[in-house]
Amino acid sequence: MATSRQRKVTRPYIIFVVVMFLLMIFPLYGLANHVFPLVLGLPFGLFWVILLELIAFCVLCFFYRYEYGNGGKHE
Amino acid sequence: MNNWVFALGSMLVYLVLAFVIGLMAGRKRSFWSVSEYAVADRGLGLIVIWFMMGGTVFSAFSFLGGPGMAFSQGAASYFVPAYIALGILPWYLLGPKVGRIGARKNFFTMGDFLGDRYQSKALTVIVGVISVLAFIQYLTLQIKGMAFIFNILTDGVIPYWFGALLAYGIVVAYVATSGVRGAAWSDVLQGALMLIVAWTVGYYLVYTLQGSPTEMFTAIEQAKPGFLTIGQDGSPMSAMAYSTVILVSALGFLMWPHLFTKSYTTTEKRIKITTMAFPLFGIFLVPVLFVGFAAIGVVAPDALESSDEILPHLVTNYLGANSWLYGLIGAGALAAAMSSSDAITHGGSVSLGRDVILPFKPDMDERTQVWIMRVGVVAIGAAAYWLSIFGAAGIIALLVGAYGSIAQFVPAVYGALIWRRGTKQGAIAGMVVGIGVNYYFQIVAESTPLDINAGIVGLLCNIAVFVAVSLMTRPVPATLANEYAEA
Repeated sequence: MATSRQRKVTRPYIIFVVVMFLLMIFPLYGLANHVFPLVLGLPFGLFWVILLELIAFCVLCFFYRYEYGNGGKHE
Repeated sequence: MNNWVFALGSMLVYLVLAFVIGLMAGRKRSFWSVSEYAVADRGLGLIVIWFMMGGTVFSAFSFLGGPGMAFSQGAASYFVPAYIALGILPWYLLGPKVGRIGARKNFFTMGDFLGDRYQSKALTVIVGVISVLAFIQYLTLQIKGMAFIFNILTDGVIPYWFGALLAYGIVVAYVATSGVRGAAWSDVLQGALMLIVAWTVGYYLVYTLQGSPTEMFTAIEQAKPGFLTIGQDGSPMSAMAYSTVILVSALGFLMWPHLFTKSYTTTEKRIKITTMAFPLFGIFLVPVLFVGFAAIGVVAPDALESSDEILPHLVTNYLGANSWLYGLIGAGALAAAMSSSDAITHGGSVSLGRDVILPFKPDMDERTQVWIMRVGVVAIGAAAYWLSIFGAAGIIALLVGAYGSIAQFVPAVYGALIWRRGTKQGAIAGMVVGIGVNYYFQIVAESTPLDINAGIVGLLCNIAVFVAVSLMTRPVPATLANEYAEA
């Protein structure tokens, strides 16, 4: 059985996943669909993908901390 | 020393290492346990599981197809890091649920899971057969990659058939003996090697051939306006095609049975940490694309038979003097192809034994099951080897269709966990229709409506049929449906 914290994260997590999907595909990806400015040498469209990956990593860290950090259920 | 001797030497050193690690991994483990062979008694460690999930993604594609795609299709190749990051995200919720149910009910495969939830052996067999066919296709691509790398980097000294036999033979040997542990531990070596090689080679090529990434992309944009964007004049792909290929690849990602079943191999906490660290793999792929971009303006597109040959072409024609790089690329590319092959060969053998053969003879004892799986490794390996060396057009169309059909498991799998009303008839009908539509648009038809990816067209039909038929047929017992929905 899932713990109460796990149940609580389900809905926010689903929203997070949906937002990530939407930002990667059109029409929202259209915002990033340029070559310039080059960031870190990358075309903007590619940088956008990388940026979202970093953001996903950070958001996942928050979810994880919420579930397993202070006060969460430890394994 | 000749470059090819150096390349051959480092590839052989690498192969010996992979072989030893793979064999060692299974020592002192119970040889006759299905649970040990299939899911390592549900006890794989964090680093291992992370590399295993990542290693299976970094296939031969990362040294051959990936650079080729960047070279020939520009911005369309961004879809690879995009879908890899998205594909893993649902695992954070899906993995622990599947793992809990699996541990309670002693499941090893996706067929076990679907067959029990929908109370249908037929569904288990369908999933098993499609998986095995898709796995063979996947393997064929990897074996061709290994053979090609061997052949080209040794100046043709090692013939195509022998390179494939050597590299893949080692995979078969350690998977058959050590099961999932063999695949997992060798993936740690392979994953680490591959990452080092990809970054070294990617940046090295950009700086040698193009000056710097900034200069490179500026020059590409000037020479080929639109090539680095999607859906504009001169772009390689339409916005719709790009969006839907990301969707279908990301949704289908966890439906690959060898990834799905990893939910059974470890703990909930490790599943979550793996998901967390996984999007970083997408970032690791960037230098792989750099290899392809670096060749633009340097290599004429018609100099190659297939764009997949771009990395070996660059290596053999533009880096002649550097034997170290030669050796590194050889070992790295082999590692990439092998780290996918082992997990897939293993997954295929478990699917074959558990989902395809066991339902016809349910009273089989455990020893026999393990035997069938181990023999299955060799059988699947031999089939894939034969196909990749000799080919057979008819079979290849079948396999390509199966490969594209994996995403059609999505409605049944997610339906099992969130929709209590889903029924056996609904799941089977949806899957059959989805797979049929996918086959039609992927292989028979010239184009799809609105340029939507064939898999997404199939998936939409699949969901519609799944829901409609489920509502018309008798639901499974409420306690069973609840057990899955509330896991």
